[in-house]
Amino acid sequence: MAQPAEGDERSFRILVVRSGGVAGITRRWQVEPGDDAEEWRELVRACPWDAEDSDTESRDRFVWRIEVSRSDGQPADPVRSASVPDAQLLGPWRTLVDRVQQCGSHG
Amino acid sequence: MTQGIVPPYLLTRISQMEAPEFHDAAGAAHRTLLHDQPRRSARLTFRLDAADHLVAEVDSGPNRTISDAAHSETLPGRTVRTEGGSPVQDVAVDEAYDGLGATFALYHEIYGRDSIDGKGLPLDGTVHYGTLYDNAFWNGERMVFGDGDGQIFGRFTSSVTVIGHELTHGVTQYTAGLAYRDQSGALNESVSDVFGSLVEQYAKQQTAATASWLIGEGLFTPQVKGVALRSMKAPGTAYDDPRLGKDPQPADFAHYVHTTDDEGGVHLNSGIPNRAFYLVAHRIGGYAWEKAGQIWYDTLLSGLKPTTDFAGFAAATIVAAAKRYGDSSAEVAAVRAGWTGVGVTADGAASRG
Repeated sequence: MAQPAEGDERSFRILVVRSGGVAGITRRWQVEPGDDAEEWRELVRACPWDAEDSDTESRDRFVWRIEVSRSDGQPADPVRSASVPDAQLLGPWRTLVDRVQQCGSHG
Repeated sequence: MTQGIVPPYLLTRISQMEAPEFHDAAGAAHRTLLHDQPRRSARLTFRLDAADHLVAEVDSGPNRTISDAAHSETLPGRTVRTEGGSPVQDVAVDEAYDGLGATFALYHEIYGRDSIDGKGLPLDGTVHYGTLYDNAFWNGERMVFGDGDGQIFGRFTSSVTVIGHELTHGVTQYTAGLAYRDQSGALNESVSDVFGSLVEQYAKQQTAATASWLIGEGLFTPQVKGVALRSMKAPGTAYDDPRLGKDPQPADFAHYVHTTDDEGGVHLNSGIPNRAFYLVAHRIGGYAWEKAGQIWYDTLLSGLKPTTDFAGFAAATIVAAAKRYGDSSAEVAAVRAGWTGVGVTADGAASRG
C-alpha cells in the first residue's frame, strides 16, 4: 500500500490552501499529525489524487490546493498534491479539508 | 419622466390601446407578451413629446428569480421572489433582487443591452448558499451568494458592486469570453470590477471624482481593519488586517504577481487594469459610465480573442475609443494615458495613430 509520506511514517504534514473567491483572499491551514497519524493517513488515501478535476464554467469560485509533504519539507512519495475546484470538493476531499480546517493552524 | 416595472396585466391593457399616440407602446407591449414568459415584466416610460402629447413607451425589463438555498449547497434552492413580486422579510433576498435590477438598468439604459446575453436572459440568483460561506460566485448560469462567516465577512449581497461583478461575469461569458487564467483571467476579473463599480455609480449618480471606486465596500465585519475587498483607485490599500494580511493587489505592471494559485492570480493582477480604467475615467471626468464605460463596453464587443493579454486589451480600448470619439479625441488621449499610468504598453499597429 502506498504511504503518504515515505521515511518517518509519523512525520508528515498536510497543507490546504484556498485561493480565489470574489474576495481573492488566500487562506491556508496546516496540520502535522502526531499520535493520530494513521487516522489522517486513511483520510489522505481515500482522496482521488490522480483525478483531473476542472471547472471551466464558474467564476469567482474557490480553488483548493491540497498537499501532503514530509515534515522536512520534501515532497511525499508518491507525490500527494492536487488542485480541486470548489464544485468538486466533495466526499473524501471535503472530509479531509474539513478536518484540516478544524484541527490545523491558520496561516 | 416616470419609470416603472409593468406587470403582465398592464402590458395586456397597453397592447390593446388603439389611440394613434399609443401605437408604438401597444406594439411593444404586444411583442413583449408574445415572446416572453407569462411573468415577464417590462419597463414603461412616460414622456411628453414636442406637441405636449403623452407618449408611453414599453421596453424590455429584467426577469429576476431569487431562490433560497437554506444553507445547503444544492442549487437553485426554493424560489422566494420572482419578477414584480413584493419585497420579502429577508434582506439578502431583497438586496439580490434590487442589485440584479440595478445591474440590468446600467446595461440596458446606458449600453442598450438586454440582460446578460443581450436577448433578455432571465437573471437568476441564489442566496443563503452553504454554511458560513465566505463567497459569491457565478456558476455559468446563476449568481450565488453566501452569508459570510460573521467574523470576517458579512453577507455578500450587501454590496451592489459584488452583484454587478457577478452578473458581468455572465456578460463577459457571452461576449469576449476572456479565458479565466493569467492575464486574460485578470482582465475578466477587472471587467467585472469595472462594471460592478459602474452599477453602483449609476445607481448613486456619482461622478468619477465623487465615486468610492471600491469593490465590496461594507462586506467586512467591523472587526476587520479594511474598507472593502479592492480599491480600483488605489489597488493594494483596501485592507490591512492582522488576520487577513495586507491587500495584495498590484497597482502597476511592474508589480504583476506570478503565482499558480487563483488561476494565476486573477483576483490580484486585476488591480492593474482596474487602475487603468480609473485613470481613464478620472481624466475624462464626469460620469464614468458615459465615456470610459462605453469604451470598455465597446471593447468587450470588439471581437477580442479569449487569450487577450493586457497589451492586447489596451490596444483594443484605444481602437474602440478612436472609433467612437475620433483618432485625435481627448478620450483617446485619456485611454492612452490610463494604460501608460499603469506601465502597460498597448500592442502593435492597432494602437498607433
